[in-house]
Amino acid sequence: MQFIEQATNGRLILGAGSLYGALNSLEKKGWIKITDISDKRRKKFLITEQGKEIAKQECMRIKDLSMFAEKIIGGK
Amino acid sequence: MRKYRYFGALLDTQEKWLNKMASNSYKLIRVEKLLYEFEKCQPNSYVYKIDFVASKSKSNSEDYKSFLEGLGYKVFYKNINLNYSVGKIRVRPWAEKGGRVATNMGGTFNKELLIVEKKADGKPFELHTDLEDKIYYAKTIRNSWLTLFALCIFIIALQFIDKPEISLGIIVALIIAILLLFPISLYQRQVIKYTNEKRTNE
Repeated sequence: MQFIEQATNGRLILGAGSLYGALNSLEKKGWIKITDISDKRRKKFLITEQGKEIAKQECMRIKDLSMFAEKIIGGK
Repeated sequence: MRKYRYFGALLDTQEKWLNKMASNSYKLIRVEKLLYEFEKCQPNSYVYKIDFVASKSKSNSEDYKSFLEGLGYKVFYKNINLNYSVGKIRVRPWAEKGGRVATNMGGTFNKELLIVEKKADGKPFELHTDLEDKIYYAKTIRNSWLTLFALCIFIIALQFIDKPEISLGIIVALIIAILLLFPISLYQRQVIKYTNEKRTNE
């Protein structure tokens, strides 16, 4: 949570409840999986191959979006 | 210091009260059905947040609790109802998927809420920050009260079909049903507000 806050300069603040829900749904979708279950309080997750693929696609989508935005701004 | 209070479904009132206690330099150390036990601390050194977990299954809410503890928060279970129960079977209207009958000590019975404590760091303390999650959270609470409301109407209907006259039971159920409309509309308004916000963001 601190990492997200710092990385986005405080633009995005993620609450614990929302983070918990997000991690659970990512796991259910099979995009991440638990690697270490020894400590219930500190679960460790690792991204799966499928998760990486999805992340790549999302990255492409955002790139497209940004290119499109630049086109609009530049082509005035 | 010991204080006896009962807030029932007034989640915000309970949260405000705990935060007021903390700003008057009392931190929570123990909770029971009606009891809140406090210890002296530096004023404003802790903040409290209430989370509604009644719709989660037992293992799910325990998992959530240890997740929060792993993040460094202190977490207490808290009951919504008072329930000095008769017999072993009771209805849990706020269980997942429209209520269920619970046997003694199973599930999240009497642990419907979490009181989450954070050391104050000057930043606001929110558990649900994501719009989608906020909508889901408000819906969960609304549906719990909606289920109870439906139950009341159902009881009234049954009674009335049985004996078409206004009995004391019908009046009591009707009063409860009307009271339930307050939390239902409160959370419904939250759902609408967040849904609108989400739409403008898209």
